[in-house]
Amino acid sequence: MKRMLLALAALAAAVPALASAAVTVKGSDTMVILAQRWAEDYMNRNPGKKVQVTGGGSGTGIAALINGTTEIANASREMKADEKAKIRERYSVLPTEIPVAQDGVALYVNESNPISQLTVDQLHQIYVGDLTNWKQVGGPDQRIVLYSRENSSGTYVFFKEHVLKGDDYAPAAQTLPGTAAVVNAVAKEKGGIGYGGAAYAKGVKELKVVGKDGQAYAPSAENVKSGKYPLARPLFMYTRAKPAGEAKAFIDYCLSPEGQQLVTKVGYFPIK
Amino acid sequence: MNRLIAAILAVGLAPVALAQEAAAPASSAPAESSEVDTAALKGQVDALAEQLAEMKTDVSGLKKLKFSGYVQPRFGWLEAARYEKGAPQRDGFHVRRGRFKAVYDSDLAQYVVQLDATPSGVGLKEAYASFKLPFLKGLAIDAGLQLMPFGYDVGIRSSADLDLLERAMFAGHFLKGEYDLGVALKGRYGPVDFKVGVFNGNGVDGAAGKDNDQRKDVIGRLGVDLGMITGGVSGWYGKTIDYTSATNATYDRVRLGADLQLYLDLLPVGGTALKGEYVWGKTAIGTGAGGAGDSLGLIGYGWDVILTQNVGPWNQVAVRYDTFNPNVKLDRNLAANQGKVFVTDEVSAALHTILSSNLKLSVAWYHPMNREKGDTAPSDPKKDSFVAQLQAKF
Repeated sequence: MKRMLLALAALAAAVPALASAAVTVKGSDTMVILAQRWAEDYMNRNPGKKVQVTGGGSGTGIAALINGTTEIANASREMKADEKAKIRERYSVLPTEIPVAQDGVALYVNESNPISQLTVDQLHQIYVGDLTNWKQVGGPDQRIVLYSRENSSGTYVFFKEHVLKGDDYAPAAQTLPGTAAVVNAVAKEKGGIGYGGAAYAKGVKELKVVGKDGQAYAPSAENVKSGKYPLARPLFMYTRAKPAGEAKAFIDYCLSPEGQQLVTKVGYFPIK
Repeated sequence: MNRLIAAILAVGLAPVALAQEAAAPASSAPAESSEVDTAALKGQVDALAEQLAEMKTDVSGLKKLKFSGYVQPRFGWLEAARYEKGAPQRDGFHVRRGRFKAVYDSDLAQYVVQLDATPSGVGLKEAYASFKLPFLKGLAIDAGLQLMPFGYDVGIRSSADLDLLERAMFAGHFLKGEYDLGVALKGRYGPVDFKVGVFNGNGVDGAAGKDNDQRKDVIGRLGVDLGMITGGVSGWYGKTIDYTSATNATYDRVRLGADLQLYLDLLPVGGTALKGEYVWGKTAIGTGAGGAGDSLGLIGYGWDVILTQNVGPWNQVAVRYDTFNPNVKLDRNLAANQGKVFVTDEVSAALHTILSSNLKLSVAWYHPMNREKGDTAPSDPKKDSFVAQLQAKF
């Protein structure tokens, strides 16, 4: 009996050594480029330390955090109540939410599209399928082609909550596996419209979105920081409990001046 | 997925590249062959795009089906094996639970089937469909064999995540079987959630969900989630019939419960959780068919308090005090009741170590004590048990 207990104690003591070979970061596709840049810079500054970054979407990252397959989950939306409850029930701890950057969900249209701004209400009507032609919002007589993200994406959830007000996307909306794919599709399709992180808008036109004051705002650093851009949002890292060990060291770096400088370089906006 | 697409494109385009290589010497007729090659290439790409669209449809269909499960092999050391005479229980290896769960998610509904396969047999634990109500956001109806929506220990916690590996004593008495057949409405509005339904009331074990009366039981829980504080109140009202009596007497089956959980960051080593639950009940579920074995009309109660402390990200320690009284009106002064146990208290402790994302090692010790007793009932029944369990989950 004593031997068995000793063996179990030795095994328990060995676990952290087995489990902490590398810090694993998984989740938001919006954040994947930023997280990879953070990881590269962190590993350059700290030889011997390893950070593994993968995407898959905010929902995938949070599911991995719940299942214990990642130490840090990147999310471009807040964790849902039922996701927090799963962590509580499984581990008897509260998850920790750390805002690490700011972003504005940008609306992309084809560069040939003369439309330059839309209201949130118009975006809602377009994405639920009530408006199907650009001429209904003052544009050319051209069918609107909707591009969206998969439901594991935090941007999908954010857009559904803040623009669609919980309504379902139009069945005609084509789901694409990443923001880069959305940008690529909109760049090729004259009637296309898509959404994603501000850092991805290359080869497409970003729309201004009309705020509560009736003014149209672009997803610029100034407008996102001031909160005037209606689709501004924080980007988060989540850990199962209070960050500790190597995971804490990496998060501390992300929040440091050096880490926040990279936020700006990648195209997002620093939290501090 | 991107790698798969790249591989398919590479394989698809390889013959074109080879064909171009083979045709390279014939460069004297460039214009015409170039037009032909471009057309052929476009055809190949269109064909691949069509195949990809089909594959995407297939993959998105498969993504809706999810499998999960876990097995809990364990070794049990029993104090009773050393003290009981006759044919005592023995130390040994067991498979406590062997669960396999399939969930299919469609837009408006979710279908769930869960089996429990152990050496003693295969049982159906869950088989229900959950329908979202399209015009009432946040509401859904669960119909079929499902978890009893009562309390925290049974209504909320998965048996893969129990702090002490086993549920409290009152759960095995008042909520026997844990799963029941019925239909329930559930919903969440902000921090408040609820689930209430109509059930057979006999649980899935023993009588295998057979109800012995025409009246169904109403079971429900109203919960609140404030982040670091969660809790709820639960209720159950129904009937059962005693067919062994000449009059086929009908008895109330009633339970009332309350639960509270606190999640705190008190110590630098990790999070602390304090959980408590109280259940009062009348007429526990028996193990026989048609209501046989029900504790007809008897009133009892039980409660437990659990303190769980995380030690770093990989270890967790839990202790529990658990009390159960199956019959508050048992008269200890009657000669017939001499030697009977009135109230059982139990202290238990467990250590969990997460070995990997899907492997957890747990050891637990249980020490039952008889607090109030008749003249001949021992205060220490010498029924301690020690369990070492490895849980593999996928």
